[in-house]
Amino acid sequence: MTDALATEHAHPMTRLLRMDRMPHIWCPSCGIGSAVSAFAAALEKAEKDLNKVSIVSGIGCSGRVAGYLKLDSFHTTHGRAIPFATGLKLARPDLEVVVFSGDGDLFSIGGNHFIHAARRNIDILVICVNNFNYAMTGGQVAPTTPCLANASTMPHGNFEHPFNLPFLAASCGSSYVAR
Amino acid sequence: MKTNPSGVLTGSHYIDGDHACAEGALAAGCRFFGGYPITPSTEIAERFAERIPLVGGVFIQMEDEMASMIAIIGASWGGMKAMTCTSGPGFSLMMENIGLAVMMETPVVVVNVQRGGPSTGLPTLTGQADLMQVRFGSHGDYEIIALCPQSPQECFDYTIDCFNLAEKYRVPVFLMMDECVGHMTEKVIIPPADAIELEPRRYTTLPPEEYLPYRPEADLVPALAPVGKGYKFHTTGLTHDERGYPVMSEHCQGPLVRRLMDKIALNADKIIRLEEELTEGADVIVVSFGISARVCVPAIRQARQDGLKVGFLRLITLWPFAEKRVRELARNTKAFVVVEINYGQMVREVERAARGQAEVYLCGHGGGGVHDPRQIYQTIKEAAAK
Repeated sequence: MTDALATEHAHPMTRLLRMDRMPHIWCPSCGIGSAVSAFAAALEKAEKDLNKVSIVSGIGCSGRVAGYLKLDSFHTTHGRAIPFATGLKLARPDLEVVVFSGDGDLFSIGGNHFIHAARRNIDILVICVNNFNYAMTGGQVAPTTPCLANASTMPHGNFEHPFNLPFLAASCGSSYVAR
Repeated sequence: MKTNPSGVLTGSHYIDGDHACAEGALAAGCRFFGGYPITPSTEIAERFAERIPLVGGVFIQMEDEMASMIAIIGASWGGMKAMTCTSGPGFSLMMENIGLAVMMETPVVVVNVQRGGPSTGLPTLTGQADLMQVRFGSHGDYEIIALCPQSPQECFDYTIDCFNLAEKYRVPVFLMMDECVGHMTEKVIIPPADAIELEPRRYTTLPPEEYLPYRPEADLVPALAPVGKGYKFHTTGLTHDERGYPVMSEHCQGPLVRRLMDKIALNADKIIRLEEELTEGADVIVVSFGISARVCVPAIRQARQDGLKVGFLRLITLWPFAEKRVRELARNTKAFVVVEINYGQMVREVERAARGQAEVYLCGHGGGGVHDPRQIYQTIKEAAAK
């Protein structure tokens, strides 16, 4: 490929991505890439000062988002991205602090932190990529997995009821919830 | 550098160890406290809740100890000096993110006001049984620094020391108090602000394009980048290279873990604080720390009155362990008597360091109280008679 073609075919969000870390770990057809592109486009469109945006992730496929965005980025422990972000935001209220993680990370192991962050409402943005299961580790059941769906740890069909994430967030006091 | 005088309550106070610890942190410039109430450490949190807003700092009661531990890591990356305190089961819950602080090389201070265990154990009564947990409690291989005060005055002094060590070595540093010291009220002298020397944060002097977050300096510690200044650095709990990027290989793991351990181990002489009394030429050396060290005093005095040559080694730094000094002493003494409120933790370290050159006796206690000095006296007599 010539340089001109390479430029023409470069990802439009290159300025916001750590290109030295490509290729990413996500599978072909996975929606996380689209979610990251949308987030990057939103940062550009909103003309955010990228020096002042920090991104915090937990563990899992979506937990890797922090590692691919060219921002001050923190890849923390499983479920604990929100309390990390809480400390960061309280120490530096001038920063835009964004948590980007998955449904298992944010609502199972991190569920308690999520509801308390919603209750406190300290101006952090939480983006959850909900793929309804633990995908990185091969498809285990999550608290978002629909009833009767098969998962490697629910081989006879999920007999538990899933969370409705937006309702959960709203009921705990989040000032803005969207899906 | 000198401390910010706004947090320093210069003067003579009559306060307990928990309050003195909080004052030490404020004097050291700590401006973020995240914690969860748990006896017997709660008074530290309460003192912060009262005092820290008055000096422009942040107090937050988190939803649990896992959140507390990682909130202080986040605040530290945000540029604030940060700490938490806990006890017993709360300390167990912090282990996960203590590992994260080690891996991300985050300066934070954790105070454990020890109580009796296991499990809920003795919420209101003392113990010294978290000494191995503080060293090895999180998974993986690593080193930390832990100090142990024996009085409210030392709670003040060594909390400042903890903050300085955390900044110097970019490592979580632990103040291992216990219920007795935490709830003991004594005179505490808080010096003038200009007498308090602080270790500045190690910020890089390099521009963003040349900066690598995990490239070590001469003492094996890398410099931090300030958040929000365009460095756009990455940090992770995964095994990482000098860029902070994850690398899943033994070739990256070995040197990283080696450096995390060596930055403490190779600087041990600068980190270790000890107090020695008549150890040269002693037949028996009593080794103790914290509240137990104070209980040893009358027993040692009695044994010396009986004509025994008894030395005293007080460990102020528990970790890294004073291995070199204990080995030196082992060559010229008959026996060590290790006095601690557990059934055999630091005694293992003394045995290991002594390498069979001296006998090692444990004078243990199950917790819930301190030793009867007569029990310590008897163990000294027994050790001297062999």
